[in-house]
Amino acid sequence: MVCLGIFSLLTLVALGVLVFGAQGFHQVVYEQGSQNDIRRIMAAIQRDLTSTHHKSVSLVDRDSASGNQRDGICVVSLDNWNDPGNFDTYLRPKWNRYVVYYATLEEKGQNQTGRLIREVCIPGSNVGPYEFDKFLNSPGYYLTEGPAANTIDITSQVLTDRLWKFELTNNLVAQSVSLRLALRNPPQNTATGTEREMHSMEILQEIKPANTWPQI
Amino acid sequence: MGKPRGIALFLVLTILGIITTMLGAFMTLNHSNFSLLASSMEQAEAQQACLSGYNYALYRIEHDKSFGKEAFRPEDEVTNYGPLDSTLTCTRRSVSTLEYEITGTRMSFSITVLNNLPVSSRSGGSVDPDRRPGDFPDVAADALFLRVVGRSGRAGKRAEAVLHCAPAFDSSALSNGDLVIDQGSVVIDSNDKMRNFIKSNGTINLPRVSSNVRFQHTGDTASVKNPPFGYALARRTIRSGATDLGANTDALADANRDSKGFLSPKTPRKAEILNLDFGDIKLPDGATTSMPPGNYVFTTTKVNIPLQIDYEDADGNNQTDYKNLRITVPAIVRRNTTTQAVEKVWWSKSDISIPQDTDLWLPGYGGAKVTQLSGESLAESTPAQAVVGSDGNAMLADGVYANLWDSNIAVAAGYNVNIDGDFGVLYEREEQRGTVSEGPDGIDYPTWRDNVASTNDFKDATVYLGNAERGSSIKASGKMDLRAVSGRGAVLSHGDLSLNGTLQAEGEGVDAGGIALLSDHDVILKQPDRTSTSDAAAGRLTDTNFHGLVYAEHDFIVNQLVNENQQAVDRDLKITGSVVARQGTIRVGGTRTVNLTYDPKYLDDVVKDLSKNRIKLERYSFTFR
Repeated sequence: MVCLGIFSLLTLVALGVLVFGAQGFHQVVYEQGSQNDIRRIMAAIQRDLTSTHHKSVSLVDRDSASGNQRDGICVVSLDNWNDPGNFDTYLRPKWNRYVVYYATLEEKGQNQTGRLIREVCIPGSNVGPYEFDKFLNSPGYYLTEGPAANTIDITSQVLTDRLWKFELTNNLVAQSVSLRLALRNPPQNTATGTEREMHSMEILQEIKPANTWPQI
Repeated sequence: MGKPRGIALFLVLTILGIITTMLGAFMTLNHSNFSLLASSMEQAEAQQACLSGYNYALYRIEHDKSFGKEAFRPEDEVTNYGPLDSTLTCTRRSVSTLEYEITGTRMSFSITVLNNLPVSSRSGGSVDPDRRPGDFPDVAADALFLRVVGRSGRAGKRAEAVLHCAPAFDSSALSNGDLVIDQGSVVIDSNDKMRNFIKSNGTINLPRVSSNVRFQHTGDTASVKNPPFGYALARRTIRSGATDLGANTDALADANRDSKGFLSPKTPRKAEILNLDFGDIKLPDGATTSMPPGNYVFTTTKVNIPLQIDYEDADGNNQTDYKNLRITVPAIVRRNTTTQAVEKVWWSKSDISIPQDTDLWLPGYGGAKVTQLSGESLAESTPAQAVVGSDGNAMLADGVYANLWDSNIAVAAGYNVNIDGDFGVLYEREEQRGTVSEGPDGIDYPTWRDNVASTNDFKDATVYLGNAERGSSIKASGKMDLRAVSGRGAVLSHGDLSLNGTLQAEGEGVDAGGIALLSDHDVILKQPDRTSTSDAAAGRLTDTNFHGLVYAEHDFIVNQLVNENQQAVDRDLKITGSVVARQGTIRVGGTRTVNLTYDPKYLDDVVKDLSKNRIKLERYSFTFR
């Protein structure tokens, strides 16, 4: 009996450890999923912003109905970074397209999230290390709630639909862009049936476009 | 039934099995986590090593212009790079690659120059093993294509960059101290597609920005359509009239909006101001000549002209008489700058226009007829003199001419004039456009330049440099005190450089050259000798339209003008190129409008590659993988 008692106790302890471990594991997986989401988005943004020319950075300052920042940014880019024909004799890119990142203004669900869109715009000629005039002057073309309505884009891509905040600041003297990206997950039930709190994850980063010249 | 036996052993073994399994899983998980962590750290370290290598390469290039232009040799890597000696160890080198270990760490980096170097090594002629096909894209010969690989453990990061020489100065106005242009209106403009800056490591004082300062970018109106069109960067603050924009964000926002520029008070980065010396200036590849120091003064001098006078006496007999006519003629004199003693006079005999064979009343001769001009002339009380030919050009030195008619000094194209001491060009004539001079017995007598009637002919003792195709230069070991400067070339002074008149480079456009004005002390635009109200109204003597580089080791000062009634007279100031006060301030006073237009073309025309192994780099492209 003593042995059975000890065995039962140990089994209960082991089960308890397993349950809490599973919960912890679930939590870790859940948070890692969010982290991976934010990393994936940041990787795309970093790639485009790091390789651009700072003089081309143009921002549109927008807020959602509840006051969350939902900005837009447009930078110059290349269709193929591995094509030697896309560079001049100083290996300066011969810019041929603009890349736009913007957040929609919608606030869906309890977590009030919208979408983060990446789109590529090819205005034809006159692409250079300077701002995309049409992006600033015609937001109706490039910053619509439905990316499909942005008819002059060749591609548009939804990076996430759990975007809470997308805040951008252009530092003209430092020739960098400060970025604040926040994702928010809706409340979820845990394995034990308890409701987990709304979970948000935020990243703050300053990106310096490396193909900028002259440096101030 | 007997008591089950071995149940305890079974239970113990089971529990041991569970614990062992859990322990194994835990250790495996931990091991994986540690591996991930180590890998992540190696990646971060590799990235840092790569950036360190890139910055080290920049350091080497900035201190050694041959770096990357010649194949690396073992003796190049003798550690003589100061504090880095104990930090870096060169472990390997090939023709185009250097590899270093960072002492005390597991990090290392390699620097490979992908262009400019010979394909084979100098010694053996073997192909550099570090070079691979595709390493040689068509990079311009005047650029340096670098690849830096940073390593830590098994991780590696690679960066590639193309570096190019930057212009010596990147701003239309650049000062280490304050930059003060607080009167009139100010236009900040640029003919360069990428740069439009004014910079100060002190405070920038502007007139009320919203209404009086405008940024524009005429160099690239096609693409630069949206503000900011230019930047004003100050390490301390920027004042708009009496308002401190560094302490008033609303006023700063208004100023930015209205001026269409970007004003940045409290800029964190200090503006780097290149230390330029005379050896950095492009001088014409021609003759070098020397000229005695002194103040070269356009003035007048009295000379005695022996005349033969044929006349009829009261009885109707022809008579001949000889008389010395003492008249005043235009001249240029060289005065000692300390004692003011006249050292030499140049004057023109042929400038005297006594009409021959015409009736001329001379006192005491009653209707005399001067029929002949003859004899030698002699200037009074001069230690040395030279008589100038009919063209009015006095040769002050080989290649340097002073024109007595037009009151200017021209340095012939291709000539570089050295002056061992102070040098001044002054103007002291009472009245150039006069038509009379003192004749015998104190009677006014027609003398010189009687055809000059218009005030437009007012001369300002201008120094002309070269011609449209080729410049010339003047270099003084002392201070310089000039009136106006025009043309193409360089004016270099080891002392203060004062300009008392207009400052104008001839012509505009691609082919027009610029002027380099360099001083080891101050450059000062002073009060012209004569500024009357009418002169100011007509824009004479007051306005400056300069193309080139003004470089003062200390201050650049534009003084307020006053007229003969001691009233302030405003002038326009347009400088196309760059104004630099390396250690001092830029202070512009008494201006109606100031137009500062950055133009690297004029800088290129006057500044050559930097001497003493110095180089100023600009990064054109950068990729990081």
